[in-house]
Amino acid sequence: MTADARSPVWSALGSVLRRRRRRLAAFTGWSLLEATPALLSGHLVATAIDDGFLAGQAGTGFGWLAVLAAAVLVGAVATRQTYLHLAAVVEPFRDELAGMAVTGTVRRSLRAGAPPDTAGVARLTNQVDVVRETFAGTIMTAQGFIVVSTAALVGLATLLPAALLLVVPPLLVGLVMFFSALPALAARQRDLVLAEERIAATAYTLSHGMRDVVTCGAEDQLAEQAGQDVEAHAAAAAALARLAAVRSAALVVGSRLPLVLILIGVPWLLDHGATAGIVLGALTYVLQGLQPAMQTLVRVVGVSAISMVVNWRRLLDAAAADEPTALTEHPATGTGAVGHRGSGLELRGVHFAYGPDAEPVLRDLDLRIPDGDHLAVVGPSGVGKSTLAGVLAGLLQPDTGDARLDGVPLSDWDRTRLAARRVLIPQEAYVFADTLRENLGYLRGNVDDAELDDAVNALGLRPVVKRLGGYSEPVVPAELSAGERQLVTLVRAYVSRAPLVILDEATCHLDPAAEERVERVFAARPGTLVVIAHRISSAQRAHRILLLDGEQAVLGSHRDLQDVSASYRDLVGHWTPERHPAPDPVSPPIHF
Amino acid sequence: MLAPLPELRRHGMDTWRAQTRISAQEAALVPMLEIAVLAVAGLLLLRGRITPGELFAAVQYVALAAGLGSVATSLGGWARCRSAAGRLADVLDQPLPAQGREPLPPGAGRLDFRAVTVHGGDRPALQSIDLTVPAGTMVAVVGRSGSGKSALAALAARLVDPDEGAVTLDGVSLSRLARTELRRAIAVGSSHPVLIGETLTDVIALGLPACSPAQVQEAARSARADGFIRRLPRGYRTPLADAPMSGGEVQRVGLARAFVRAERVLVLDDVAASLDTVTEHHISQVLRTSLADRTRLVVAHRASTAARADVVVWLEAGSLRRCGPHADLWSDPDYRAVFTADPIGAGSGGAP
Repeated sequence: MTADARSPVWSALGSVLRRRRRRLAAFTGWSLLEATPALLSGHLVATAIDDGFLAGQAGTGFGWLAVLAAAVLVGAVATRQTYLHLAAVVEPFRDELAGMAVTGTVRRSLRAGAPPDTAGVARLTNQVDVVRETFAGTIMTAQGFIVVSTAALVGLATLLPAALLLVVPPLLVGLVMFFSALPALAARQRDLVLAEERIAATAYTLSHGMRDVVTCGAEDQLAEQAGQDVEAHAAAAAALARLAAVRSAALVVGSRLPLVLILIGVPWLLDHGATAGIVLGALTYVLQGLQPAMQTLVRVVGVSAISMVVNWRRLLDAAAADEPTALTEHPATGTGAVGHRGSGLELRGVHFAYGPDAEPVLRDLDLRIPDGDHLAVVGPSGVGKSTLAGVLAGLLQPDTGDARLDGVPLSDWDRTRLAARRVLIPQEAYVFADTLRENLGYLRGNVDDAELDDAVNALGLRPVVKRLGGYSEPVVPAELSAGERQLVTLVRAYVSRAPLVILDEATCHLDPAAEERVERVFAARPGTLVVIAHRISSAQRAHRILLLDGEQAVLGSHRDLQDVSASYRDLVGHWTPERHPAPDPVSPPIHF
Repeated sequence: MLAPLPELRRHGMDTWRAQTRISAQEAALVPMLEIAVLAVAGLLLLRGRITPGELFAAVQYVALAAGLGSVATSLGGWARCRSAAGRLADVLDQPLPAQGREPLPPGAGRLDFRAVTVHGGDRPALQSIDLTVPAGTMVAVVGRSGSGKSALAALAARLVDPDEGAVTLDGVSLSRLARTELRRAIAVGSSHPVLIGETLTDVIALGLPACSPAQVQEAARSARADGFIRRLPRGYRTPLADAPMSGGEVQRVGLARAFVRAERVLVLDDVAASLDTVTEHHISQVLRTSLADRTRLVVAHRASTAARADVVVWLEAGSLRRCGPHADLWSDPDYRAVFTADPIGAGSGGAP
């Protein structure tokens, strides 16, 4: 965690607080009023006893107590108002936090090469809410402690100044003890949360992979690991509990000790002009003012605020980092609109690996895809076809070498312009819970129905549109089949107007006939089409084929490649049965 | 994605209003109680019935009583603790599957199913199966879904014990073999393996502390996983969490994990499902070459897989329908129907 990573959340907080300055002022005003009972209580009790009950004037005593009751009611009204004003500050802060964390998590998931962070999105709501709630609680408590304890001390100073000597030193010692234990408390709390997460991860593995654990004979290994996780959790909990004892000690010193000292010091206080009523008043300040304030401070700050810090860090982790730096560093240069050094895609000497120790996925790759081309990329799974798609779309940056679109390095493209220039449809179709129209027009904004109709009819989505009841009907992604979801994203790409379309196995859940239909429709669409092929038939429809077999990259037509490449012949040979799915009933298909 | 935020904020404000009412009441209630006690105690003080010290004590008691709520919370914790302990006891009371103690007998992996019956729900999953798989043969198990193919594979892997009869490896019942011996001799590859371990090496060598990196890599090469593992950020040392893998790649790692430990028997449960045809072709070659001396029991959905086996075991409704080479069985229209009835290459990339 760096200071830089912290800044977006702090600046969000700052901007929320600035925009809500008037609310904050109102909040402060009401919270001062909230302190009325704390300020007056000791004086009123002292007067009620000395001038009332001890002087034989019951009426006077009841009168002063009635004033105290009124002060309490005023305080309650003020409490209510402070809450409402605080809510108006905290709620927008939550919105900002949620926005930041969602953006960060989604970006992280988009960063190719990393597994999608689905857990992050799921965890998000919960963490944001914890932060919001504890943030509010912490503000309330800090504010409450300062206002109430100040009011009580001011009251005490005016009622019986000598008592300050008995109250302030233990209070300060208690506070110092408490705050100096806080960082360690936060660290222990974090350890505990991490230990819990490890247990959860192990438990998940055990429950989902029990069959695998058993067949590999790894019961002991996993049991030992689970045991270690549980031990670590117990140790973390014990460490936290030991520190919690410090917290309790701080509470005793800060809030109980002053009471004891005043009781012990009663003879001395009486020498300094105190009366029974005044001593009782002073005790009231400690008992009703300082003590509850200190208790709440320790409870809220020592428990909730620490869980806030832990969750806050998680959110920062999600919100930080993931600005795709390469794409935003030079937003002004290379708009792609001028200075065509050549239109279309061009890779020169491109080299890509997923890490410094990893074998490269793409090695010294040269490739030129002119506008209007129809290229199929084929090769066995895992050979790096999707990586190439990521590089071509500008989502992945080559380690060395040059990847240009329309003569401008892909890393220099402005993101909005790049989004309008190319569209990449991945294997996993992303359909979101909104209307069909929103889903289909997602890359375009407003698309009129006639245009949607054309694309829907051409690509074969019509049955789905009919079943859902029209474009304005909501879509439940889980109720569409994998193939139907792919068709939705394909229509989305088709109407997007982006001249370059990259389909990364985007038709893998369609049957071969539907796939052929989709590819023909996209081939007839003006612009460039790059198909990362799931079936070899895709290659036969393309103008040109790029073969990646892990050793080399070969470019050519279907016929060229059959002539020059043994691995292409191999691919075609063993891909063939897929186009004739039913086994020949007379002679069983035996390939070798 | 952020569209529902305004609604969330509305609900948030509703919560705040509810909290506000409660806090305001709380802020008034306890002090009011204390004031009432002060008034009564003041009256008693006036009449000389109590001293100022006793008045203070009375007020203290009110403050203590107001703190009773937290005691109730602790009692709630105690109740939760008791019910959690009860749940744990239920789990701990589950009987453990019995484990044998015998070492592996000498042998090369001969599997015998002797009058084996496995009870299912309304009808037996397997009924009186008698079957001998000679050491070193490749057997394909075919049948329509529900015919008992997976039950037979589970028996061979001792994932279940037969309700009647026995399954033996080189003459010793699987239930009498020591667990570690059994797992070293019989390995299982499945269509949806769950990968367990820190790094790719750990995943493949799961449960085999003595397995060397060279053995791991050799198994990965056989399973055609070596190439893409080397392209991962840290190769074989890449943490599983940082390894982006497709379904087919996960399956190949699962196969490598099975290959590295199959000393005598390899049970493959429909592993071809999400492999591309080239990879599947390669792996079936491995099964016929470097793993040719192992006993291989392969649950097959495709005629081409059955054709490669030495013997096909054809199950129907939990019973053994016929047993013999694929070419002999192929003349039977019922046998051919087993393959055409299954959905073939259902769009997810599977070839027949």
